[in-house]
Amino acid sequence: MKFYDLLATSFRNLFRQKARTVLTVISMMIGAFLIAIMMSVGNGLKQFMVSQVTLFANTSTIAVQANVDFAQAFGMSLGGGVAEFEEESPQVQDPAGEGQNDSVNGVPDFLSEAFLDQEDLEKLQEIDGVSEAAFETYVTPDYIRLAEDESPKLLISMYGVPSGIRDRVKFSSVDRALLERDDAIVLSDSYAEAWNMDREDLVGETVLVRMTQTGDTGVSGMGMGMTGNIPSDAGEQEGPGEPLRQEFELVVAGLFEKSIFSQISFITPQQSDILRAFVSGQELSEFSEEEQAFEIIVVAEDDDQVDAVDRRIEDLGYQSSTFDEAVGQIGVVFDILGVALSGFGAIAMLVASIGIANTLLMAIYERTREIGVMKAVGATRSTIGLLFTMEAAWLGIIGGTVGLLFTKLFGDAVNFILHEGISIGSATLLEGFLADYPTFDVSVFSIGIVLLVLGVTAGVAIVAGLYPAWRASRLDPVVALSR
Amino acid sequence: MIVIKEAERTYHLGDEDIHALDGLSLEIKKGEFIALVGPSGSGKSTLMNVIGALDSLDSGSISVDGQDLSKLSDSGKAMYRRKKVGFVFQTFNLQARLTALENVELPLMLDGIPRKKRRDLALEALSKVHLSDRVRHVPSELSGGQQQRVAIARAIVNRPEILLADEPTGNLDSKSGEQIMKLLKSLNEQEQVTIVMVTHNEDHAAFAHRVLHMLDGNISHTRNGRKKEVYG
Ligand SMILES: Nc1ncnc2c1ncn2[C@@H]1O[C@H](COP(=O)(O)OP(=O)(O)OP(=O)(O)O)[C@@H](O)[C@H]1O
Ligand SMILES: [Mg+2]
Repeated sequence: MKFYDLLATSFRNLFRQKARTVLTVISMMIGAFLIAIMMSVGNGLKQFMVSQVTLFANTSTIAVQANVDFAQAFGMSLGGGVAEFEEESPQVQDPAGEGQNDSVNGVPDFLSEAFLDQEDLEKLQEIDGVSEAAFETYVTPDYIRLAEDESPKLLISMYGVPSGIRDRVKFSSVDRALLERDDAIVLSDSYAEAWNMDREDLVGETVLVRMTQTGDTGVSGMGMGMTGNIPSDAGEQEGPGEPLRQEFELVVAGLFEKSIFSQISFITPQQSDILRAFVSGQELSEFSEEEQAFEIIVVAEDDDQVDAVDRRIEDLGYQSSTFDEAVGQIGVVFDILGVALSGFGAIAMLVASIGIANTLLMAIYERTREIGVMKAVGATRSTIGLLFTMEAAWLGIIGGTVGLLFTKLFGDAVNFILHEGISIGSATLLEGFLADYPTFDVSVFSIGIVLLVLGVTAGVAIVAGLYPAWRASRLDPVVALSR
Repeated sequence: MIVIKEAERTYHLGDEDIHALDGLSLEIKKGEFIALVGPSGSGKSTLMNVIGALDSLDSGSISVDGQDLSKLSDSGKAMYRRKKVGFVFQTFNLQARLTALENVELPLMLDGIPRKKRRDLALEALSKVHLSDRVRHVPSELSGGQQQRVAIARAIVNRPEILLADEPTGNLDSKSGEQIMKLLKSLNEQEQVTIVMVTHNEDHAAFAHRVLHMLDGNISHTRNGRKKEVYG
């Protein structure tokens, strides 16, 4: 029998017991829907997280840290065991290679081991294929305001980042020439809203950030947002009277698309040094010389070299992670989440497969005589078996397709409602939670999901159909015809 | 040529052994028209099923044109049924959802013949049974005699050498039965189809060249058919 005829005949057989077919398809559909919706929500969240990471890193950057086992350093150990005491237990490796035993700035020893200093920075800058490297630093001003108007706004942090990061931020508006300047600042476009300006108008504006001298030395970022405020050992600034304050002029070079990090900004490492030197009360040259940070951002000359550069950095004894590695880690988390949630879908699928097996076993019973006739007029066992297997596959594929269709409609509806809210006339029933994040969709459908869900539904259905198909193929034609 | 030697077919029902075929030997020549008569349970249908390779022997042998049927694989048997034999049943056994045309196409479809060609062949077979005007009807829209003619068309559409008809007129009124018999006779005479037919009707048995009387799984006696008046 020709493959096409098998397909067509098994498809026609679906219409013999319409109600039963519909019910079986519905159960399959529910399973497909649950799996597909979990995956598309997982996709959406993953894309969102990745887009957040993209603010701080891109495919040309590598984040470098000292090779310190923080878990161990903080007294955590996997499995909760206690390590044996060793008299000459080796010190945690000091990447700077200075063997400095004294605590830095009153920070516990193990923490100082985690710092990277000027020497590390120079080492990294000299690596083949590296175009720039800079400490990852951030500094928090008291406020930010437009030069010619009094409406100070909060700005949580200004990250000093190399141009390799600043240049590749997802801009909603930008002036590339301004971006080259040392006093450039890149803000979230929510500041345009806050100041009631068009984005294009805000770019090129002069803004003022006010810093207060606290005597703290540079704030060092430890990855994203994590920070340790390290008290200076020249800690005599806490004198009486008004602390020293100063406004610094910056020029808005660009605005990035609003994200969950809407109150951060990017400045140049040079500018960051100036501001942090002021905060610490030190001379700029002195401050720069002693600068330390948890992390150095290295920018490769081009994206293709990132992996090679990454290897060279690790060969020097540092811990480093590329953009792909960082995104990969986020991806794994969401993939695991997606798979776990798909468990519900899997259970629904299992129920559906039992339904399919049941449907087909009933069909065999009803079609016994017909199967006998088919054999009498020349059907082989495998033809009969294939007809039933394909009928199962149809049930799975139709269920999967309808489930996917619902997923798409449901996902689109949820995305729409979350962006636009629900309002009847002028009355708003529901705020659009995501109105501020136009590029973020909760549910992101993809070809991958379509293929996977159809594969799974067809596969599950075929497996469920195997036993009925085997039973049907084995029917004795003489017995079948006498029924 | 069908050659059956010492055929045994035993069914086991509980402790009881039922000898449906009990040492039966038989030769049927090409182009012969055979009628099988005999009491219920004498093994007529069993013999038909064995000739059609739907059933197999416990001992003894059956060969058709030199091919030992017991040596055929499942697909070999399916092929044999598709190419060499056609079945006609007492209860027609048409597929209720399919039109007359589609029913007749079924064996061709199983044989992998392309759509267009099988449509043509099926229409030709239906015209042989004088049903060209009913090809789009489903079985429930046809009389018993018409349904049996569709079944005959289905049986001959592959141009088989052997037609196995188990009580083809058993469910029909005498007029329709007569028509079916004339149809079988013309197939036998014009297309040299070998026919083995089970019947309880003496008049219908008289259409055959040979009438085999079966009793307890064997042939008790044979007589010539073809009464003068039938062929007159
Ligand atoms: N599948 C089976 N299982 C057990 N016994 C069977 C089976 N098929 C046939 N028999 C028995 O074999 C014997 C022969 O049956 P068969 O159907 O060949 O008789 P028949 O001559 O065709 O009878 P009828 O004229 O009633 O159709 C009967 O006793 C029947 O009960
Ligand atoms: Mg019988």
